[in-house]
Amino acid sequence: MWQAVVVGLIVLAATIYAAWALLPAGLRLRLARRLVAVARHAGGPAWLTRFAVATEGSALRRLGGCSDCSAVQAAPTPPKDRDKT
Amino acid sequence: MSGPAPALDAIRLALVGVPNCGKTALFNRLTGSRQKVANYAGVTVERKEGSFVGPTRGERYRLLDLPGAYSLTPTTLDEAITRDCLLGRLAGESAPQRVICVVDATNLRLNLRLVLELRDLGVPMIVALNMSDLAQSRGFGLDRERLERELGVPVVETVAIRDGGERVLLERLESLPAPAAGPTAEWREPSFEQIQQTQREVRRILHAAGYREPARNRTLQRLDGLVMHPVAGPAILAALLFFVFQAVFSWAAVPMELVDAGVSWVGAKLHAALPPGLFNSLLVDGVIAGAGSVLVFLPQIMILFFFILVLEDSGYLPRAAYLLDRMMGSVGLSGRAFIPLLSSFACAVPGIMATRTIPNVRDRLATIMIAPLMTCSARLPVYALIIAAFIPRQRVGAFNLQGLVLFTLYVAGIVSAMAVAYALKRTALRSSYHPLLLELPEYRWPDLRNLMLGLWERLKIFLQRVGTIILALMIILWFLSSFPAPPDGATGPAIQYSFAGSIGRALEHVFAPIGFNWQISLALVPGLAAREVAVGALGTVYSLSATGDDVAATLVPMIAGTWSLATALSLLAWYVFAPQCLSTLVVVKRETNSWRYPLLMAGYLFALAYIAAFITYRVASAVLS
Amino acid sequence: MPPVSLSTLRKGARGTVADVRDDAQTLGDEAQSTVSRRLLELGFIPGEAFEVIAEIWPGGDPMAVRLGSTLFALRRREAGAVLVSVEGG
Repeated sequence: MWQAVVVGLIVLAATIYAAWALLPAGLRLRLARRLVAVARHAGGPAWLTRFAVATEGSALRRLGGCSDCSAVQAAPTPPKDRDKT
Repeated sequence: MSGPAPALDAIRLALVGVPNCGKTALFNRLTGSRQKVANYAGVTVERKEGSFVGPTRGERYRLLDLPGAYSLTPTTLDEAITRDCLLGRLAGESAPQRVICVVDATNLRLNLRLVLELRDLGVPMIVALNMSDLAQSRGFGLDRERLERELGVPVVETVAIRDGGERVLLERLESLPAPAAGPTAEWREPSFEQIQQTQREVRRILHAAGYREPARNRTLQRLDGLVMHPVAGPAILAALLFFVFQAVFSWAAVPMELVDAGVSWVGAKLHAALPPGLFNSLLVDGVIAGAGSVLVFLPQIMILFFFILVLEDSGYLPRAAYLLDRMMGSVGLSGRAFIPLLSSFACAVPGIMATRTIPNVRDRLATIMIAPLMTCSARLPVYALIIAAFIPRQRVGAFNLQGLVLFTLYVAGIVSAMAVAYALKRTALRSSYHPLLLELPEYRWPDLRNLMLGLWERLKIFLQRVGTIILALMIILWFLSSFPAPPDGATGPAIQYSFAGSIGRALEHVFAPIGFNWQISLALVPGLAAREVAVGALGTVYSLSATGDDVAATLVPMIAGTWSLATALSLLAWYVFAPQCLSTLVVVKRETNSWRYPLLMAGYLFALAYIAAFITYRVASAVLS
Repeated sequence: MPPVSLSTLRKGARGTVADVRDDAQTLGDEAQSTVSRRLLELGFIPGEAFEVIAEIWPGGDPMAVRLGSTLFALRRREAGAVLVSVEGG
C-alpha cells in the first residue's frame, strides 16, 4: 500500500518536472512569475516565496531539455521577456 | 539571478576588443557569477552583462561584454552591435560611460589600431594589456609606461586566465575622469587615407614605446609548415580526426566496463534487497536500467570533449578552416563555417549560436540548417550502443573495427551536411561572393587548468542532465510501461499490455517499413527531449520485458540477441539524420526569429532519416539473408 | 620592379606591401571596398613586410600570408586587391 503511494508521488514529481523542463521558455517564465505573484500575495509561508523566486531564477536561465550546458547558459532569454532596464 | 536590480546610478562600462584577445576570460574574472544574459533589441545577438563593485570606492559598475570587433566599421552583425552600442545608437541602450579596451600583448600591431579608434571617440577609457605574461615569456619587449604616455590613456597589464592584474585594473579604472554622457566626438566612417594614417600612427607609437617582436619560434614555424602544407595538411587533419575517434573507443573501454558493472551490481542488489512490487520495479527497471544505461557512456563523452576543448584552445581550428575552405567552397560555404560546425560535434546548440560570426545572412542560414547533421555528442551513446552490440571488437590492420565504424558514421554526417549545403546554396540560399580573410592566431599550449575546469563543467552538466530530465523521463516511461497491468492469465511480459506498449505498437506501423520494432519506435519518443534518452528508454523497456533471470542482464546482449543486423544498421542510418532534439529547434527559432526554419529543418531531417533508414534496411536485409 | 598583385605570388615569396586597391574592377562586386578597407585595417599598409607561407593545392587558393607577426588566410580573389613589391627581383 505504501509502495503505491510512494511510487505515485515519485511519478507525479517526475511528470511535473519534465513538463516544466520541456515547456517553451516564454511560457515557463510567465508561469514562474505568476507563481511568485501568488506566493507573495497569498502571504503564505516564507519558504513558498523563496521557492517561487528560485523557480523564476531558474526559468530565466533555462533554454530547454538541453539544460545548463555552459554554452547554452549564455543563450538569450526570449525577447518578450527582456528586462526593460 | 534574482536579486536587487542594478542601481540606476551604476556606472556603465563596456568591454571591447578584437576577437581572440582573451576578453571573455577577463569578463568572467571581473564579474564572477553575477552575469545576466539577454538579447539586444530586435536582433538575435546575445548581450552579456555583469556587475561588480569597485575595490576602493565601492561604486557599482555594470559591465557589458561587447562582441569582438576588428574595427568600428562593421562587416558582421556582431561588429555592428559593438559599434552601435559604443555610439549610443542601439535602441534601449545608453552609450557606455567608460570603456575597457582589451588588447593582446602578443599582437599589438593588430590590436592597437582599434585602441586609437576608440580613443578618438572621447569616452574615458583604460587599456588592459592582456596575456602580458605570455608576451614576456615569448620575448616581446614593451615599455608600458611609455606606451601609456604615447596613448594618453592608462595601460594596465593583465593575465586573463589566472589571477592577476584585475585589482590594479579596477583601481585605475576608478581613478578615470568622471563619467561622461557618451562619446564626445562625432564618429564617421574613416576614409582609406585616414585608416592608413591611423596605421602609421600605430607604428610610430609602437616604435616609441620600444615594442620589440621576437622572431617567430622556429619550431612553430616548422609546425605550420607541416600543418598548412597542401598535401600533408589535409592528411594530418584527417589523421587527427581519425585518431580522436579511435581514442573515444579504445580509451573508454575499461572505464565503461567499470561503470556498466557498477550499474548492474546496484541494480541486482536493489532487486534482491527490496520486497518485490512496484517500488522495486520503479527503482530497478526505471531508474537503474533507464538512467544507468545513459550513465555508462560518460567516459566516451568525456574523452570526446577533452579533444574538442584541446583543439579549441590550441589555435589549430582556424588552420583547419583554412584547409577546408576549398572543400566548403565547393558546396558554397566559406571555410569560416567550419568552426561553428565543429562546435556542433559537441552540441548543435552552441554551434548554431556561433554562426553569428558569419557575415553573410544566407551563408549563415545554410550553416545553421546543416549544423544538426554534424554528429552531436548526444548521438554518441546511441552509436556506441549499437556498435557495441553488433560490431565485433576486432582489429583491422592497425585499427579497431569499432572505431572505424564510428569514424564512418561521423564522415557520413559530414558528407550529408555538405550535400545538403550544396543543394541549399544552389537553390534557395544563393549568395554572392564573400571573402575568407581569417586571422590565424598563434599556437598555444592548452591551459591545463582551463582544460580541467572545462571537463569538470562538462561532467557536472552530463550528470545533471542524467539526474534530472533523463531520470524524470525514465520514471514517466516506467509508469507508462507498467500500467495498466496485464489482465489475469496473460502471457508474455507485462509491458506489452501497458500504455507504452500500445503507443509503441501504434508507432510500429509507421516504422515497420524501416525495420524498427515497437520498442525502438517507442524509445524514439522521449528521445525528442534529448537524443541519448533513447538509450535510457531502451534500457527501461527491455528491462521491463525481461522475465525471470534476465533481469540483471544489460542492454547490449539483449539487443544483440533480439535485433537483426539490418535493423541495427537501419537505426544507425536513422540517427545520422534524425532531428530529434527540441533544444536545437528552439535555438534555431531564436537565431532566425521565425518558426519557419526550425520546422523546415525538422521536416527535411525527418524525411532524410526515413529514406536513409529505409534504403539501409531493405538493402541490408536483401544482402544478409 | 613595379608592384604586382599579391594574388600572383606563390609560396615563399616575400617583400613589402605597396598599396591596397579599392576598385570594383578588381574584385568585381560593390561590396568589395569593404574587403579593401578591412585589409587596410588588418595591417596591409604600405611598408609592411609580408611572406607567403602556404597555399592549398591545386591552384594555390586560399593562401596563407604572414604580415608582420600575424598570420592571415585569404583567397586569391581578396589578395588581388593588395599590390606588393617583391624582394629579390
